[in-house]
Amino acid sequence: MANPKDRTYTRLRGRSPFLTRLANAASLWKSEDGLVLATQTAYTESYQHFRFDDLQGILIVKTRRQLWYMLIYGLFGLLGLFLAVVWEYTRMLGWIFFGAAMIAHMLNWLKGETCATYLRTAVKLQEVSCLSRLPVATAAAAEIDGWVQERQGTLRLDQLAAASTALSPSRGQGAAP
Amino acid sequence: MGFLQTPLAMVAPLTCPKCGAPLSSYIVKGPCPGCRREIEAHAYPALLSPPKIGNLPERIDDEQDVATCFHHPDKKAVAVCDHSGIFLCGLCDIPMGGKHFSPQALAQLKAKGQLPQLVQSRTRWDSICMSLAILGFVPPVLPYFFWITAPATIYLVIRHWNSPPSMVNPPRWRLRFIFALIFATLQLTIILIVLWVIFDRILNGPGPSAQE
Repeated sequence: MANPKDRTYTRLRGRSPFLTRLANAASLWKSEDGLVLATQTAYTESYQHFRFDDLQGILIVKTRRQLWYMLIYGLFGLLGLFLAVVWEYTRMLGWIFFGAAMIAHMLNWLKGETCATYLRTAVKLQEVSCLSRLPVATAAAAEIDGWVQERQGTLRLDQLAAASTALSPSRGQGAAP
Repeated sequence: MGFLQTPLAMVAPLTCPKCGAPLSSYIVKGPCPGCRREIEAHAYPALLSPPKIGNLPERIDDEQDVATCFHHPDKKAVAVCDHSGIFLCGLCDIPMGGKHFSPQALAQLKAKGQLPQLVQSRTRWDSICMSLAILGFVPPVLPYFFWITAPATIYLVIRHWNSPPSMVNPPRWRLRFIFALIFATLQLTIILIVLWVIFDRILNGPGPSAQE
């Protein structure tokens, strides 16, 4: 019997959004036969296993969270600027506030667009909260594509077409964008 | 790009995770027909494969010279349990990670946490110890309660030194235990110094400078 300590896990890039991380800090790890989604809630770490053989797909949905963050940081920045300009005795505090808001704003912009990423198996659709930025999620999905292809092979067009015909003859009439 | 850029509408059960609308248009990277959110989809061959059906046990009709299942003597053995070594029929055989297990062996290994594929959660004793050790340095706790938190930290570190660690990140786990132990020892040292000074004053009275 293999000792579980011998198993090695490699962490994939990506962290949960700050507010989510306070409650549930998620991280995605690659093991020899699949992915492990580790979620730490208070002092318990729970694991969800996704074997490469069972993965049916990855869905990445763009969200507007980045815009909301920009708006909030912008409002904080304006508040800081207001405090710095209007009153003499809050000048220093105002500039500190403004500077912090601008740094947060810039980091938010540099991290890229926000998204929600889902791993799909036959029985589950699981959101992966640590893949919440589009550049990171896209890179992770590309990596996972390679690992899944090693196990499952490639999905061919004719396979899809045959499945489509079998599932619903009326579908598949549209045109590609 | 590794994934296939094909019309996912052909795959019937694929739906938008946000609104639940079936991805009825040709989407690989495009808007959801329901909520108009941008979706990028990566599809794999498992999407089209039929559900896996377990093996059925094969009954032995007559006096054949074949190995039989340990639990079902009238069924033909198809595998050997990698944990207990018993013969298993198609019904008892549970393949996992390239190995075969009997249901009893699987339950036993799961209870012991020896099959990483079946581990669902673990308590992060390293985080508990670290939090307790750091709490001892927080101002309201420092003067009043750290004589409780420091011994409690040391007790928990010793008690859980060999408990199952974080499954994905074990090296960091031991390091955090060591840091918690150092912090707690530091706090205990402070307690001992303070006690020593107090008892010294009680037994020997105030120092020469105070007497002057």
